[in-house]
Amino acid sequence: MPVDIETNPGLTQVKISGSCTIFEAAELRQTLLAVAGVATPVVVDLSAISDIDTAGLQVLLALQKQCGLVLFSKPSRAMQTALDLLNLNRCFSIEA
Amino acid sequence: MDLNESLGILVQEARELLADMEVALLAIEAHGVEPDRINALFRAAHTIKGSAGLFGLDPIVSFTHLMESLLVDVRSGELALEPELAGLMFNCADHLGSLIDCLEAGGDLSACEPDLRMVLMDSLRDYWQAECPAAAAAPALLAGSTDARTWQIQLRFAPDLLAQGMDPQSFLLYLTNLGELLSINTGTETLPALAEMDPEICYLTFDLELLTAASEAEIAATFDFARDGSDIRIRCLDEPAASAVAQVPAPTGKTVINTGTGNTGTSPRNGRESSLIKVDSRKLDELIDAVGELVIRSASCHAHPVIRGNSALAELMESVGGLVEQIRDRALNMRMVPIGEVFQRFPRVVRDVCQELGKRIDLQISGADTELDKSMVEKLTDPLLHIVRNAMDHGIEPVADRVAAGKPEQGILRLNAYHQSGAVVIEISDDGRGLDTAKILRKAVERGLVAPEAKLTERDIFNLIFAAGFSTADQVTDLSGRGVGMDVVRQNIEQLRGSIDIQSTKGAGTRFHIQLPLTLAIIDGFEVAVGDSHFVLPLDMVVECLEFSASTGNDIFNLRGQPLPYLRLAQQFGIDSTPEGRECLVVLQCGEQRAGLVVDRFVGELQAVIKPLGHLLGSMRGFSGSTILGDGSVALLLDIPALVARAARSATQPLSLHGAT
Repeated sequence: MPVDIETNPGLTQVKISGSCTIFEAAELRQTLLAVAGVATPVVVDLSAISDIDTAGLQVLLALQKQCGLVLFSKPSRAMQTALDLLNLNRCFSIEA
Repeated sequence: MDLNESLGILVQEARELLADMEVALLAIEAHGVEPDRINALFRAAHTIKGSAGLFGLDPIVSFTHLMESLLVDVRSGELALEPELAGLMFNCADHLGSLIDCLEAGGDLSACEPDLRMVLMDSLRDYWQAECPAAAAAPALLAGSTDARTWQIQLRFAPDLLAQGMDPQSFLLYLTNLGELLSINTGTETLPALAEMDPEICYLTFDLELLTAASEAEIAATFDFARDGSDIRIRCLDEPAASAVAQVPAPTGKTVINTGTGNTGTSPRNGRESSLIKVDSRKLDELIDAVGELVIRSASCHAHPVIRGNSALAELMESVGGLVEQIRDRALNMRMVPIGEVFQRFPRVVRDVCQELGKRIDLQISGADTELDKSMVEKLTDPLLHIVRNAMDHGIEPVADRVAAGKPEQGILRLNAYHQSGAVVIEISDDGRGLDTAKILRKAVERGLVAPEAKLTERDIFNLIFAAGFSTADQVTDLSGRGVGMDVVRQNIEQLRGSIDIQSTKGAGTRFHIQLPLTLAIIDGFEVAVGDSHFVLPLDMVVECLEFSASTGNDIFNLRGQPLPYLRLAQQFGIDSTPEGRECLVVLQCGEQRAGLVVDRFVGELQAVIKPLGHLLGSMRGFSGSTILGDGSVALLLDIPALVARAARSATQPLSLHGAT
């Protein structure tokens, strides 16, 4: 579950890759806390997520609650399947 | 309820379902296809698939999915369940059984018989596609049928659901098998911000609408594994017209599943099950252990001089003692299970053997509801299986031989169980060729088990088949010759403190008679003393007690004109004893054999809670356990069958020295 965080002036870019399940949830949360305090909008790239379960989704949703403006982008197939199943598309602000 | 426990429930449930499946398949083979039987098959495959899906056990899911798909077509009449397909289903059930075993052992499922799985899955697919190419889509179950109703399902899962290894996604996926999910509303209201959240707690809530013809119980069963601590409400939105009239206060159509914690794993799936509680057998053992101690303490209270001297107190203690005994009986009763659990495996075994050997055998089972201790049921399976296999293999003749002997073509194998004076009796009888005494004797002489000139009774000859390394089969078939002989069977039975006996009439059949104690945990015992050592004998083996006055050196006692072989316990165990006055003789009966045991004195009857011997003493011959006496000291429980056999043996070999036996 590598997470790349790139802080630019005016925008913080996060890319999460690999598996985001209950096994990685604690670590994922810890890593994402780093962007919790940033003042800039955050864009989270979901294109490289290979596997995500409810625990993983919760962490992403909690990030959205934590930060002022979070945009999610380019959901991978696994991510989209999970979103569709739980009907969460409207909860995530997905950037086209 | 942790993950292991949930998996344990899954394993147990799957085994029960597989047993149902086998019963249904056997019934189909024997009596033809009936909707009930097809439904039983379908239900088993479907439920196992669902449960496995919740745990992400993909090999089981994909396998049962194929079985289920095929069975859907069978159920709808598109595919006929011909003998060949039934045979395939048998093999599939067996493979599922292996997968479940593997799961229980914590093994890698995908590495469990992968080749066999491929072959079976290919066969299943062949059937499915060959017979009904139109139905090549996933089974669109139930939904869309006329009696489909809309259900509202509210899920507030236990916080630790995720930590238990379960994912709400799996439940939703499972529900899509039952019908169509009209709407899913995932609530995030209770989800805290990232900084405050515990990533392993389930915060999300789910409100669903499901259109399905499945019953409320079927929907509720989806959440069996998530019930503890979860608040799950299922409500029917459109009651069928008939019940809509009395709708307002009716409690039907609404289920609240176990909102409490600490509740045991009962499930409201059907009426019979809802009155049962599944309890870890270890907890039951602990309870019985504690009750056992209570029995001992209560016995020592009775004996206390203060109580003996006070009649009011004595009366009180008497009633306490009565209650303690009731508790003991009820606790032991909880361990009792019907022997049918073992018997139900045999129809399948008989079927397979009949196919393999080309014999025709009718299995008749009676007394399947006879109860005995759960731990014994488990240990009985192998010995019984062995005897049954032997009976089919060696006992019942091939059809041609039977016809030649003027018997009906179909052989009869009878399993019977009943209670008899505090013991359980299991009988396995066949109407086969019976034991050939001449052949047994010849073999025994060949193997050096008996001297050629020995004069043996018929019974002794029959018992020779229990000797180690004895086999009379002229040719070793796949069934016999598995390296387990009848000697192991006898050992197993004796470990359960039982005895086994054979009756046989040449040409007419053989009957194995197994006698077992009802329980292994507590016995009525008889305490004797030799020197400073105390020993306990099972009371039901004690026939009588006498003063002993033989002084001659031989070890046969004249009991009212009958010879009775006896052993001196002091000599057997090398105890220094200087009996005050006369010695005492206990006459013991084990099976058909009698023997005497000479001890210093009798102490009396007691209830003994049997504890196993530790590892160090486990291999000692002559003891079968230990118990704690009322005064806190330890007494060893004598292994009477072994001692009686030893006495009888030394009596038939008068030249052998006592020490050498």
